[in-house]
Amino acid sequence: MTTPSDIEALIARVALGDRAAFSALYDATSAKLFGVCLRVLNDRHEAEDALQEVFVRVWHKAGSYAVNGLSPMTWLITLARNLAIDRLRARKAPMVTLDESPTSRTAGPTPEAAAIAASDRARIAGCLGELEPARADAVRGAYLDGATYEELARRHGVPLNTMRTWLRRSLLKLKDCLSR
Amino acid sequence: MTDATDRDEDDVALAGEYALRLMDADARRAFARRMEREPALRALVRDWEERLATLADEVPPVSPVAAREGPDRGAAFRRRPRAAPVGVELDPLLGGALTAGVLVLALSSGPAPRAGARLHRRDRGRGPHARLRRALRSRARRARGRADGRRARPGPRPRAVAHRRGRADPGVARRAAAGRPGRACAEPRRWPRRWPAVRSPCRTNRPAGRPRASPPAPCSPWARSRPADGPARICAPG
Repeated sequence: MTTPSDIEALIARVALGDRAAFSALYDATSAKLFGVCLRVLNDRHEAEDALQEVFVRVWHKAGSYAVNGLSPMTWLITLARNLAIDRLRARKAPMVTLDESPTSRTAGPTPEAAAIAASDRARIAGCLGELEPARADAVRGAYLDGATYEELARRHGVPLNTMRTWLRRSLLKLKDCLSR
Repeated sequence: MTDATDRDEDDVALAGEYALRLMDADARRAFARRMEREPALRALVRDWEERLATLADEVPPVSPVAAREGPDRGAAFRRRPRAAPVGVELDPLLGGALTAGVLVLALSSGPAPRAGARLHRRDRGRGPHARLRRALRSRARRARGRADGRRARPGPRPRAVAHRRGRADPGVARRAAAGRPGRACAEPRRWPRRWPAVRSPCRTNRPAGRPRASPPAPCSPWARSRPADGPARICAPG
């Protein structure tokens, strides 16, 4: 089981060039990060390439992790998602249906970390639930699929500017809800 | 008051858009420049990133091929890097065969060949394994030199080379100090079973101002590339 502080400690050791820590970090987080890349890219090979790039970045940027103020998994997920989205937008290929089932899972978080994560998840899920379903779906699509305004507008059959307005208002409502 | 509230709302929405990667490239760059000047804006983005990251809990973890296959990591991690402007990496199998060959030669004919001895004056009294390892590294270096026509003869250790180059060209030292990728890249010191070489943004040696003629050189995070006092961008074999 790996706690966020374990991951933070591993990142700190990676910043010092510790290869064993790098390997341990890979073992602890690669499945999650690969899942994120795969969700965005819908292509296993591309997701593998993206994952490889993620860990190269982790190796090189671990030293700057401490100053960004993010929790370790948020940092890693954001890194993976951004790289996957960059690849997605570079290729501009049509989306295909994801037909992947989880093959195996790494050791999960500790019960405490799982409880905190579940609480956070429940909170954002609750706030998304306060939005109209289509708008909540648009927010999810933007984050999880890396969809652009244009793609979201097409997906929901609304004009581009309408989608911009939807998302802007949805973000403000979400922020309001999450700050309560 | 209303203006301030509107501006706050604008920033909240813009920060959310930035975190969702909804902005186009120009808007994103402009927003990033603003963030450098406005810590409050950066905090807003960080807050969005933290909040939105919980959405990733909806994504099930999926083991990459490499992890599923155990110690013999998958194709993605076995794949050779693309063009190698600086170095020619030794294939693990070829390296193994070469090692075996040199070992047989060393055992059957006694002392190491003169060339090897000449190349490894630093190895005096350190045993055959150290000499063999250095011989392999030396051969790889010479092969690299032949391949790119720039380093034709064995020189001092690459780290020392990189260091000396850094002194000769203040630009290199400046870039390294600024945390940018360094110049020299090379194969890892040893071939790990789990992580063969991966591509990284290491740069090639080229005269200043000359356009890059080829993609970034490959090197590995397993290469001994950073000093103990912080991250370094200069990749070099140990």
